[in-house]
Amino acid sequence: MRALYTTNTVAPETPLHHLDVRTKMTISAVASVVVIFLKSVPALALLVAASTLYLMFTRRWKIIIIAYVAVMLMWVGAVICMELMALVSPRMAASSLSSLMLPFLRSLVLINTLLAMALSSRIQGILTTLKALRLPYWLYIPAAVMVRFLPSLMEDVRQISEAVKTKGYSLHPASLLLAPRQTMRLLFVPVLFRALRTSDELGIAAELKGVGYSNNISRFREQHFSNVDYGVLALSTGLFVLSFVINAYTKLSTYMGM
Amino acid sequence: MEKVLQKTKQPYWNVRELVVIGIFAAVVKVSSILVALVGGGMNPATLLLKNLLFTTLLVVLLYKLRKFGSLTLFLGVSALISALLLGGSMVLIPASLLAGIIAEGLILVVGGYASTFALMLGVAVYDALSKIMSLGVSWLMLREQPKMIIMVAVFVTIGYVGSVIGLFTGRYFVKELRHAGIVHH
Repeated sequence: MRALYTTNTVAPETPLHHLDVRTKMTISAVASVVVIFLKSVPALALLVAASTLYLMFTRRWKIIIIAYVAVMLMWVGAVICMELMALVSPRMAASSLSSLMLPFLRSLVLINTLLAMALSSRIQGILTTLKALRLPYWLYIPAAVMVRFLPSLMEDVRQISEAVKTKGYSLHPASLLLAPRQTMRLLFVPVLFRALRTSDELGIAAELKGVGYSNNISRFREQHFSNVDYGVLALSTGLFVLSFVINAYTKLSTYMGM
Repeated sequence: MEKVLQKTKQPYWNVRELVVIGIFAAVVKVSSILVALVGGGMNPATLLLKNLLFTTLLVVLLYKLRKFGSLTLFLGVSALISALLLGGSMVLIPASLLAGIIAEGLILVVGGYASTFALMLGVAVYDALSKIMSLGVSWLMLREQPKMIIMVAVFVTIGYVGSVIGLFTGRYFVKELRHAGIVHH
């Protein structure tokens, strides 16, 4: 979520910030398709190693550690549940260690590539990318409104929570579990009312400015691929191809009993 | 003359509607994150409430914008920004859009956007379809250990219960909003 507050002035400069958002989008999209086809541990391990290195360029260590701990906990929970199911019915037991590893490795590749993109994308960068993608105005306007409105909405939520606390109510996990209706009334109804009012005001303001009546969107900043982008894309393609080769070789060796 | 007429031709989407879609996409995203943070992570209550809020807001959105394409556009914008800023899965985007288009088609067939029943059914069908498609994607990821899908399916079912309750809370919210003069239909 901290990525939302990243602006051009306060964000630390990392090599990933210099990459075009389209490059990062392509890597994430291709990775999410490639991992579905890979079935061998060495092939996926290669992608995990490469994507971890890619993620580490963001230098957001705290978030990376939290994400990894969360993934590990979810995975340990899943394995424990499998063991419990195996106690009830032996047919439900995990077949082998590699079959337990494969889904875990697939999720790691996806998390690494997506986190790298999310942690190194600036709001202005996203808006420029949306323009560079030459999206129609009916897709660009709501996307831009969403991106711009997210930080302001978070601020609204913070103010509403403070107002709720001053009235003597406390908001914590237990309140959500024990009194969900009250939490919804105190927190979400004001958020919704405020958001609807804002949407009316913003809509009128945009209409008065004539937004949406021109099919041509003027570009404040044009985006171009740099040599680094081409290099990173070529390297990623090479890694994806290599992982397919390793996958095919592993399958062949297993088939031939090597 | 023809050129003048072309210039003054009203687009299908006006800016106010697009702004509403953008703001709703932001509200849905922030609410989900908020529930996850306040609820202390993955537990049945959090899951239930997260889905409840999602369908509640979706029903309110469709009441406010009774137009073909609102749901699909909302889903497209939400998925695009989630992938770019919040690390949302890209594999799920086509599945979500397909579910949205099917649900909107169903709304048109059942009674159109003027019918409350059609809107609620559309949201219910969208949510069910998107969850089934997500389970399909999960199966692709976990196919070496298909038994793990059982756990995922349990979580998804709990979430869907929340979604169904959300349809009715959405309708309740609309009544309140209409009373407050925010929703006019």
